[in-house]
Amino acid sequence: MNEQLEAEWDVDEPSPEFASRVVASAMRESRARRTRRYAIAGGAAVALVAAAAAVLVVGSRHQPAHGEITASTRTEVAIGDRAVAVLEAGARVQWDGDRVEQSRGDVFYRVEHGGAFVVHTPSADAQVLGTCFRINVEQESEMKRRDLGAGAIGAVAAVAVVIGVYEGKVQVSHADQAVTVRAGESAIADGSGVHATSTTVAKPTSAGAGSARTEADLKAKIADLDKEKALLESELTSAYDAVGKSAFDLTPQDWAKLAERGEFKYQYPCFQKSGFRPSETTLASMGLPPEAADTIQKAYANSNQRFTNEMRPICAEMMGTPDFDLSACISTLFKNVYSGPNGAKATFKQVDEIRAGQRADTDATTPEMKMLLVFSGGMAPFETELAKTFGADEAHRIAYSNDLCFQSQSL
Amino acid sequence: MLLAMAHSAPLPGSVRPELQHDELVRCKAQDPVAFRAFVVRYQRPVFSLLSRMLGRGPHVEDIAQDVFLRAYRAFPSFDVDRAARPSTWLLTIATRAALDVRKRAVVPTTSLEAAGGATTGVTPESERRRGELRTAIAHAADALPDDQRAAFVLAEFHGLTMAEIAAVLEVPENTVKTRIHRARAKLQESLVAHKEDS
Repeated sequence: MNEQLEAEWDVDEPSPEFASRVVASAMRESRARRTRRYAIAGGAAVALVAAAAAVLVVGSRHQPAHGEITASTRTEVAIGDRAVAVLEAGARVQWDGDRVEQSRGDVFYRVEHGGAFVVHTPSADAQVLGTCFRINVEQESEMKRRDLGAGAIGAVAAVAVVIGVYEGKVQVSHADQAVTVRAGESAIADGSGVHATSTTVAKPTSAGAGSARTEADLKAKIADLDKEKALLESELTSAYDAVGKSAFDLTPQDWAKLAERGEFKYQYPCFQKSGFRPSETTLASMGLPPEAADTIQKAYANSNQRFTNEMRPICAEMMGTPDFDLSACISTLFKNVYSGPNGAKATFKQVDEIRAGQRADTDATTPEMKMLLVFSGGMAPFETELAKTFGADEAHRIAYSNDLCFQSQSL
Repeated sequence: MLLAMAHSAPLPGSVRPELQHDELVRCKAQDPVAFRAFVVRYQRPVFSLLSRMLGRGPHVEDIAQDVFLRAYRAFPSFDVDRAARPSTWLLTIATRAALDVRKRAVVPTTSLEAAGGATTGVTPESERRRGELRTAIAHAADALPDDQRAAFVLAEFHGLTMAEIAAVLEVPENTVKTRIHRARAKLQESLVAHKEDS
């Protein structure tokens, strides 16, 4: 009974933008909370000055104002009342108030807004007012360094520090240099100075200093860039929402990017009992007259019919018989996509490349690839049909409207 | 319905391990990148649970968002080393949110139209029968008391143990067993009746 229930008891699927929306809400909430705290702290500053000494002495709920720790495994530690640090194994920090000494290892910090919070490392100091960032101090050892200009690899005794910023900004200083690292950026500081990856450098570095990179630097940089990429993709999805461009309104360039990542997206006019027909309220909210319902309903019916007509020969080929259950066939094809010898990514990539115009349609040689082309090919004819009545621009707006009914998925 | 059926194929997320420990540690520190990974990993189980507890509809996404925001706020106190599995922890939050909603009765009961699945009008006979079966399941599930439905869904679809369900619902394990047994019997009865009718 359970298998039958699992298969037939339908559930809603999260929309592709769901995760981005949740994270954006959480960030807004987090920022608002910090802002409120900051405002309260500012307004009550005078009163708190008098009470501060007493709180520090008797405030047992507060975290220790100073301490030190060397992590043998991943360890989280509260630094005073406004910061949390997550130390990777081998990392070492000691702190006194809002001044932290990180002598080695990889540490992630989250700092609530307040006064200056400073992390001293062997190669640079990082100063923040409130943010989320990570510092990785290379062990003091001989590190191989490549001088790109000379093409030589040499060994030098040095300490390299990589600072990646997730939120807010961090000022990284080293001798007479200062670099501001903003959210999504990172910087590397070592014996030769501070090297911003994509930041504003307050004072220019000496010639050639920015080109020196160790293998560990580059790995750390790649890791930071991966995180930055995830954040930017999240922001991009939110940006699509903000400007009204659907995340499923894909250009050939978008398909090419999906191909690089081995991901796949599809959107298709939904199927509904008796066909989908927008209500007058929906049409009004879209700025369309009531009579537009007939055209849209017809476009949905034709789209549904087209989908079925296109899938049937693919399934007949796969099942080896014209008598089959279309739903079961689609289920089997999706299972095949994921269980194929090269994995789903390889299949997605090839179909993406067809959609990007990098391959011919005839390159879709398997039933699975043909099915994915059907799933991702429904919007264009749907839009073309709408354009006959509404014109091209209006048809595009209607076709990707959030007010109508679509099946969308990011895989 | 064809597309809905496609979604029941083993897409990413259907059978996946828990989020890795280091990601959870970063979630605890409210790292947004890690939290996004957490949402992506667990959004489907949460949607699934809420859909089956409350019926399908736009309210599912609203409540799911609230569930994840509650988790985000609670993460600093989540013990990544000793506490329950993150999925169990999150499903606890989701179950309680769903039961709260049911108590307040702010969500319409399952849309039988939606539960029956959308059809094209050109679908074969098997599609029609399938739609009727879905409607029958939705009827039967909707008739279950909330406490039985919650216990049944957590046990059958999310693999929680009796002890975990007991902790989620704050009742003894024997009570959980009884509720699951009763829910299963009622659903079985409905499915048999449907089979005989058709």
